[in-house]
Amino acid sequence: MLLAQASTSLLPVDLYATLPFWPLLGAIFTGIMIALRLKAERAFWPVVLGVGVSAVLGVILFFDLPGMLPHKADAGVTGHVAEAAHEYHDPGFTHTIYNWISLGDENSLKHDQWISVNFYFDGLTGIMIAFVTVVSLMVMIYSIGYMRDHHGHPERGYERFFAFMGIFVFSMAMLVFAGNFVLLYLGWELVGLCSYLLIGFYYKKPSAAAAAKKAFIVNRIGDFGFALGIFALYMFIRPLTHSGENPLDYAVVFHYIGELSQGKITLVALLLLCGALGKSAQFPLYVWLPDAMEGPSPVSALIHAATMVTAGIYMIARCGPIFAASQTALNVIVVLGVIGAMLAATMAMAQYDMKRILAYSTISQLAYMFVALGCSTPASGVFHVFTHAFFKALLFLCAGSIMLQMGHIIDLRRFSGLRNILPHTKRLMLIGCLSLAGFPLLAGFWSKDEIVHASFVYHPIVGALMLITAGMTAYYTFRMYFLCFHGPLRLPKEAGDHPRESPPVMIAPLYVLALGAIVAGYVGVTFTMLMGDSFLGFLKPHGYFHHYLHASTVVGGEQHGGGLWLMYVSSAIAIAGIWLAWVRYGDAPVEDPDKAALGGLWRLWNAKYYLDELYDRLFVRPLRGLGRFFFATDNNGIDGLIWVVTAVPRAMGGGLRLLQNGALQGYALGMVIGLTVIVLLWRWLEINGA
Amino acid sequence: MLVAYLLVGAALFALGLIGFVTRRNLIIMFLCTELMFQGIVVNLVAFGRYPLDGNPTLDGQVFSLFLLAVAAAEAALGLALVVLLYRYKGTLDASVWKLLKDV
Repeated sequence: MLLAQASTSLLPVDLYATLPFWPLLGAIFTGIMIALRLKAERAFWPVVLGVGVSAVLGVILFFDLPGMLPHKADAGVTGHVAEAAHEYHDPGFTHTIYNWISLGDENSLKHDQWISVNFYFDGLTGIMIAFVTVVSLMVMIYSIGYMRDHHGHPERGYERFFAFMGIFVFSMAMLVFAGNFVLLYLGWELVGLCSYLLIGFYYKKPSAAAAAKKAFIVNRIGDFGFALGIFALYMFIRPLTHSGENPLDYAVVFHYIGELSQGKITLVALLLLCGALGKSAQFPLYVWLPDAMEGPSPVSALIHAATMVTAGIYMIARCGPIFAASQTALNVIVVLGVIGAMLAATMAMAQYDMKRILAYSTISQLAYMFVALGCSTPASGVFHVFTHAFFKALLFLCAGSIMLQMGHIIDLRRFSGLRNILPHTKRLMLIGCLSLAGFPLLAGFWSKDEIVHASFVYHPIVGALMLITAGMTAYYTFRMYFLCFHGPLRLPKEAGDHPRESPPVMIAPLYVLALGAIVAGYVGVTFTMLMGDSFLGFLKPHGYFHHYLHASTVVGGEQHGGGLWLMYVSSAIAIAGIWLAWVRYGDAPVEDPDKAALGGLWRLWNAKYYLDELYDRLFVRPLRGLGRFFFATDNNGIDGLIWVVTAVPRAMGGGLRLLQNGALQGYALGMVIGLTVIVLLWRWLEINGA
Repeated sequence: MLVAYLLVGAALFALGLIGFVTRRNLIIMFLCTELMFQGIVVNLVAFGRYPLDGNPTLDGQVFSLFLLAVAAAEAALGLALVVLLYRYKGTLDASVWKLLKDV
């Protein structure tokens, strides 16, 4: 591979390549602290420091990366969908750390092919690693204060929590940095493992243990497809490669993908999509994500909102050259995305558990990103990943702050009117809600609006459905907000007598995230002086962020086609949704007005379309029946056969054990009888034998 | 003559064996083992005096002297063990010791 690496990097690439290992080092230190039974009070230091180093490196890398990438002659050209099939320019560079698994021997024609431990650097890597490490650091700092009981003592498993979180940040960074599909799969499975361990953090709670298992098993279904996709890629790509080209490296795969037939590309794309559906909790594999809220709130914020669940979006964006070449796969992504967005948004409107509302909202927002990917505008999807990480992490952490002060009660029917008790949380939550609702000029508005534009260009019906979903998003978000902070003060008895605001160590990182939720969108817009062609006279969609992504494997054009009027329409819809929520829930009524007004539909939404029950009937119970059948076969059939065979030695043993009675004289008698028999036998043989 | 001596030795051995298997008192059982011992010593001396090849040697008598020394050492050890066992259970009955029994 030609490494046209410019020499303008601020820090050596080898130093950037150490980024994932600092949190791992921290986790190992914490592990040693657990082994030595040191005080839990300081267990967070190694991991927080490790993630801190990663965050610093990640931010420097983000600004340093454009200069490090090979400069294309036609840099900045949009719409390279068509050209990708014929002539592929590697937009980034691969940094090999060491060759791991050999794929050919000295004697074969294709020696020197490896599955390497190598990192791939391009625009997408820079964006992902920057927000992953920064959001991780904020969540870590928040967790220092959150994972404590109401006296401020670290709760049980405090050290274990930080160790797992450190491993998670390592895994996520490996996933983002990976330069080939095997390493990507490794990171993919490691984040899945961390998710499992952290959902089941309160493993003594049966519901948490069940949720952890559910998340793990549902993800296995998707990962099975993902693994098959990687196998298929290897099968199809390897015959095309030459010596020295690792057949599973991104650069090589994307170079040769255009030479495959349409059917093969579609097959690979659909199999890879399976993995993304599981990891990013999309219809029909989304069912694990709401249950995953059994984990601690920082876990929900970091893993199940900001980073891990976006791995599916990242993977599809990374595999731009594969997906761009298969319109069938893109259409499937759009259809699944629209279904997911609508389903999740409607379900979120009829829930009371704050964290579950946010979980359904996450599914819905991830579905938006899927729609963006399917509409051939993956840059908009990645932009939404970026902004969503800030405001959704903020919302989950605010919910965690409320939960901590309410004595681990998160049911919106149990409390209301918290605006004076939790003034900081209220302010921060308002920013997060406005951003999620797509209120004009906040981060969520810019990215969501791009997706709505793209979907209108794809098909007007898809665009309309996206707009409706945006309205529902604004409505359910502010229903939650008003039920929590407005109306008369009501507290659950678990909250104690004097609930107060969370400590500064929790509030400070939230302000950083809130800043992100406000301004993160502005890296993706351009300030302009042209009044006629802009939003509110001075802002134009698409900016630095999109230029940054040009030098990446993200393939696709940008859609401006919807017209600027659409931005005003989506602003109006967001504000209308918030207004409707204010009218209906502004004084936090104890009786839910929607429940009475919508009747059966509301109950259907509240019961999540009975999809969990349907899956239970269709898959879980038949599989459990099959398992019981196999268990019974093993237990009765095979074990029974073995019982019969072993009956003979068992009967002999049963007889012989009677002889071992422990009495000294019994043994003596046995010896005498044995000796007599031997002597007599000997005599008999002497007389009759020889 | 050899047969007569051998018969005496066999009788001593058989009496000791029967006593060892049938009696329960540890000291009596211990004495019975001594009786079996002496039966063997009689055999050794008899074979020394009337060897099968017809040339008498002193080997049998020397060997029996060795055996007496061994028997004396064994008696000291054995009686000490009997005393210890008695201290544990307060009885000399051999049937109370069944530690080798399969549970």
